[in-house]
Amino acid sequence: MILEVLEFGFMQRALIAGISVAITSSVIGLFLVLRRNSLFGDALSHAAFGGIAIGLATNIYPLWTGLTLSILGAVGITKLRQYAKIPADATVAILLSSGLALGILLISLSGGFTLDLFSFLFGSIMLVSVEDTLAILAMTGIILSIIILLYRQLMYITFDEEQARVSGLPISKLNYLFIILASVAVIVSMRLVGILLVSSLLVIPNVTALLFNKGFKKTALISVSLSIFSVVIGIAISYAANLAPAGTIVLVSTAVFLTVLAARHYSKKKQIVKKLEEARS
Amino acid sequence: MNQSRVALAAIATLIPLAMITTVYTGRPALQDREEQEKITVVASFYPLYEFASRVVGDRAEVSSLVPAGVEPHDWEPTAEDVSRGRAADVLVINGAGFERWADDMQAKVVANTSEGIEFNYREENEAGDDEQGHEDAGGGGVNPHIWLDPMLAKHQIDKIRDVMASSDPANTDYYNQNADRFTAELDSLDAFIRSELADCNKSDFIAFHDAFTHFSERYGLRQHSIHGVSPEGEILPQTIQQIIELANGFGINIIYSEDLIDSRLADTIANEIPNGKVLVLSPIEGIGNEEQAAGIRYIDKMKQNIANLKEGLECR
Repeated sequence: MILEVLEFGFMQRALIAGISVAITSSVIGLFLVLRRNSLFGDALSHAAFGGIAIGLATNIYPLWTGLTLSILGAVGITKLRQYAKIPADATVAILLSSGLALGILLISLSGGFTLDLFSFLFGSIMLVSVEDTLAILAMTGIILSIIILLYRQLMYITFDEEQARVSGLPISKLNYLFIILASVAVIVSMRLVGILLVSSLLVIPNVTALLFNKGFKKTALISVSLSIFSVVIGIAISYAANLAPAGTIVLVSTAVFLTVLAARHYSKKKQIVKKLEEARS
Repeated sequence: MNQSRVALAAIATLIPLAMITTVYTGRPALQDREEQEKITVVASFYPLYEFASRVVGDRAEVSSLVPAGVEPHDWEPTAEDVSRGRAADVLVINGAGFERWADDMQAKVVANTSEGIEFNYREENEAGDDEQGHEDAGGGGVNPHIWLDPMLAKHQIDKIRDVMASSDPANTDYYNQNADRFTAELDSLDAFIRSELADCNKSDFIAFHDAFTHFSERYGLRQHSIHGVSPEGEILPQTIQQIIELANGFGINIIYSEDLIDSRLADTIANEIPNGKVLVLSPIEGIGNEEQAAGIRYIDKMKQNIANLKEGLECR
């Protein structure tokens, strides 16, 4: 039953778009998680919501206004963090709630939109068109190649921003570039899993991968594979059980996280028992 | 340093003040005393606004609660809307569970235009949610889309006329005349639909949501729909597959979308079926400002629908 649905174009597109979004968001997300900025993606997507509302109210293609506003918002809070020394989590809260508030305000002003808001809030992975899929593939390619090119510098500022500054890296340029990449990744994933679930794709696979205690590259590879696994299995389950796709994908990745956590706990216990036995004998 | 602080504070107070003043001056001023002598009628959404306007002519002020071109299914009234509904002499609603907010509005006189229609195929109930009523509107709740059947629309006109006559007895004859004129137009629309759909190869069509149930009963068609009673909510993968199989089973190649809805879902399904194509079948739940300005009304919209239906049903 599951194989025959692959004949449908919409399923093929959902899988292709889903896998490429899984790759970009887990790579971008790794930097965010390591910088203790996990909710940054949430802030970006909510700012984008405000931007989308502007687009709908002014009849400009909503994804462009969404992208613009989330980049502006992200640059704004980064500046805020640097100059006013406001903690990162607080700046995230400011951007997140103001973006959402702006969206709500515009919606109430225009008396509601004709466009289905649900598709922005919860995504519509089953409805990606051929053009969407190509655009998503192109974005994935661009984001990944920039990250691979600048991988050393980005890793340096992620682990030790002060040291990187001292060694003369263009920190603020790199930061802004990263913010723009993150905004693009968020906007693309938002179309698939919705504003409310974007940060799950950015965060959960990376937190799971970090549990393996490997180096940066290996962690990134583990995270990408877990992310792809969650998207593919999530889509399959959502089809087989007729459940909402976005929610299923997120819960699968949570289930993977819990499984890895339990396995680690169990293997640690085993090691302790082993050590105790060795000590005894 | 200090100066820039003062400037910032000034900006921070000036901007909200400016916004408040523009909001207040931007709104239409409250109606003049003179105009209020006219009876005020507030209709819930588009077709009722037009129906009420046709009946009352120039003897009353008619306005619509749901703004032009907004999908009315999950619309909620704001505080201003509620006070407008309360202040009106007559509130015209569709009923049959469409306006779930109607009871809370506590209007002076409510013209429930679906009152007295016998929904013979189901028990009267709150309108069902998305899960219900996929295929042929099965199970639970009355289908509220009565205005799409011209004969039931006639009933709605009668209801509005009766309520207007009792609220404003001096103008009874005028209201009767107007209602008769519109009823005659609806009769000729009915005859038009019957002759246009007289010779068709198919009787099955796939509507976007469950809006054409009464219409299909009237004209002997069978409606299938992608969504249930309300055209919103996340679409499930199996539903898409079922619709594709249904279309292939009936040899249908036209999927109907709506004018107030993102057509991506219909596009996706049409892409999967041979020679698939998307046409609009408007549930006339709202007409945008541009179309209204171009003079497009309920009957024009119905005729556009019939033209698109003829293509889908392969009529001669």
